[in-house]
Amino acid sequence: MNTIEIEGVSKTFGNVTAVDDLSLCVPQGSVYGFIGPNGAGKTTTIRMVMRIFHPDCGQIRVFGEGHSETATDRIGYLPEERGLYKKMKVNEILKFYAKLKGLRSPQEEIDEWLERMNLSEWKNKKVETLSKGMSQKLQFIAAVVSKPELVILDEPFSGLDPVNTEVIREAVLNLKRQGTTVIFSTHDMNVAEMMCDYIFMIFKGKKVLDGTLEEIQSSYSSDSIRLRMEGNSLDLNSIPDVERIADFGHYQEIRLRDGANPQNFLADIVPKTNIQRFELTRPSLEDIFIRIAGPAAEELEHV
Amino acid sequence: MYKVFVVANREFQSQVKSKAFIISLILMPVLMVASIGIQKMAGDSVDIKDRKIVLIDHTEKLAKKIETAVNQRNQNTTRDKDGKQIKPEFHLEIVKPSDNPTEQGFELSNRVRNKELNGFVELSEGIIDPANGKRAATIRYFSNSPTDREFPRWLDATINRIVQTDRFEKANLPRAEVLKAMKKIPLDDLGLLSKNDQGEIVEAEKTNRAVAFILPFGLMMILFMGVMVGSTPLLQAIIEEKMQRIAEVLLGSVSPFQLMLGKILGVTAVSMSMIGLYLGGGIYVLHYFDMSDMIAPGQIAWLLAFAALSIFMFGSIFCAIGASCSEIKDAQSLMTPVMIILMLPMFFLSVIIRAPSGTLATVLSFIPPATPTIMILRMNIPPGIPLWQPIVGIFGVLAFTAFSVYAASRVFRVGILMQGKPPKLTEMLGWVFRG
Repeated sequence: MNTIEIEGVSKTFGNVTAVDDLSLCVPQGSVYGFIGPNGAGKTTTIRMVMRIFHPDCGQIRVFGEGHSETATDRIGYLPEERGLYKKMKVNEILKFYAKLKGLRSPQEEIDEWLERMNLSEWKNKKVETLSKGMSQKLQFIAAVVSKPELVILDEPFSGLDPVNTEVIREAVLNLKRQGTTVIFSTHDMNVAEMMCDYIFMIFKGKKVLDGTLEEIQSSYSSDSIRLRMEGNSLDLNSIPDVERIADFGHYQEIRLRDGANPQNFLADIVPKTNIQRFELTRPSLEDIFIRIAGPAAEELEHV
Repeated sequence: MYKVFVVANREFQSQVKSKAFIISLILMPVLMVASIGIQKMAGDSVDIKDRKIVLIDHTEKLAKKIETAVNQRNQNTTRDKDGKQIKPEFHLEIVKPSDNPTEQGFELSNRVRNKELNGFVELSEGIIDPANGKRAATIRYFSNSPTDREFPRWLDATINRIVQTDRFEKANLPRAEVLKAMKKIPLDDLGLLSKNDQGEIVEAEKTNRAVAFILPFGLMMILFMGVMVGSTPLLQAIIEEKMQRIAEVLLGSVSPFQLMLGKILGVTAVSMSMIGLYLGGGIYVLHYFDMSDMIAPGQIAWLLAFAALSIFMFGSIFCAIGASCSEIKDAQSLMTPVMIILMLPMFFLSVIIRAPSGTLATVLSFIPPATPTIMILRMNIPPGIPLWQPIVGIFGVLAFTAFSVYAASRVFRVGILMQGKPPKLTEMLGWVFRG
């Protein structure tokens, strides 16, 4: 059973094609990660699922239904940019959002979630008095308080400290355990690798990756080198055939030019440094992302 | 529909609880009463500083008489019974006409500029002796304070009285007799005679023109304020929702049409509460002064119906504008044409009051955006208008409101998620027709 089925969907704005002939199935109860550089079409796809935008062509079925209003009541949505009325009190705004999802008396759920997110004492404070992290948690509660069967989270972790990230992460996994389908978009490939059952990448409006992490990685050969050296004295850029270096501090992930032989690379560096680890591996999700999205995205990734 | 009410309720609560609303609710009547009071007070207190005037008399006969009149006035009318000065004294300086009148005029003008004088007067020869119309009869008052009418008004009346007396004498007519013959007869404005419950014919009452005007004007103003009081906060709220990206969260739960409808309903509730409060206050005041028969329940019902529709109509337009703009500043230029339509009845106010059933007033009252205000105005000016007119009018307004809500929802849908520079009017029309 699929929660979302997207078939041949396109959406253009003026002469910009935001989403181009996209097909995607999100199985019920899965955690689906949407990745892709800024402006790739993630938010447009999400907005189409939310029925905020209508596709120019193709079909989107949510819970097996075509276009129906009752479906949106079963979806919780955390948009990329947070939208909260600054002058409203925490409890009031949660009540308002829950009622908009059709809940008549949501107070019990609200109290429960405030407790879980450590926001109980802020219940009667105005939104404008909350810190950024607290507003983020509040927005998260607003998205899930109506017990939706599908939760769509656009960048849920951006701007959160590690403690709050963990709180939200745990909440998301808890939703999954209860059978909720979760879609979230992220720029953090580590989070995507860690949390998602499936990963979907969109680039320039087109689907470029879709599947489990293993499936995606298995489509790439073991052409990445994980290298750990004593000290960091060697300038790897000076070695021939090196195309890209990702520095993880303790180790470097190196990609060679197409057709280059890793053995030659090894032979080149052996005389110059003490090697502690040399491993030929499949590329990480981050590396795959950058291979697809190219240098433009690489800049964005390291902002 | 439940969601529409949830949106409406939040809009209502947030506006009614805002300080701006409470302040404007209290302040508006206070300001109105205060402005009337201040004007009355200011009207009573005149500038009692002495007026120094130079008189150049080419007739060589009037100066003496004017001087006498000035002295009499200074003695008799400048103080009240308790000796408190209530009017300024005039001090006349009589100057002989010079051979070079231009030079003399310039010198005197300089004295006025230096504040030695308030002004100077030149009486032409023709006043006493027009020489069969060959000489001009003019009183020329020179000053740099044209709004100070205290002296010129007195002088005008005084000279004319003196000259009249002079003319009567020359024509050998007794002044008192002539004035008696010319005495004006007043005209009384009356209503119509009617029968009371006992079948007796009741005398017509004198109509008070001011009161007859205040009711229709007051009702129209209440309607106008009702639209204004809700619309501006509505516009601000929508721009805030758009800029704070709240709109996107809302659109994840409600359709753009539901969102807009909810907001308009909310603002209608706000405005109608205000209208209700003012109207209630007004009726209480009328009741207090035993004038409650001035306004009939039917009139109130029509006012409420037109007010609700008017707020709905303009509310939808303000929603569309708010959704299209990212800043209040951008909204202002789009607001201008709407404000002109809203103010239209004000521009034609005097025409409509003078001829409420004239062609212009009738035609204007059937143009939907202007219908509510003008129809209310026309209905409440005696003798009123045939019943079919407001009925047709209200259907026109209903149709136009339906259209404006539809058109606005199309603009709202596109605009609310759009960022960046506001669209042109032509683009907005494109959204209405193409979606």
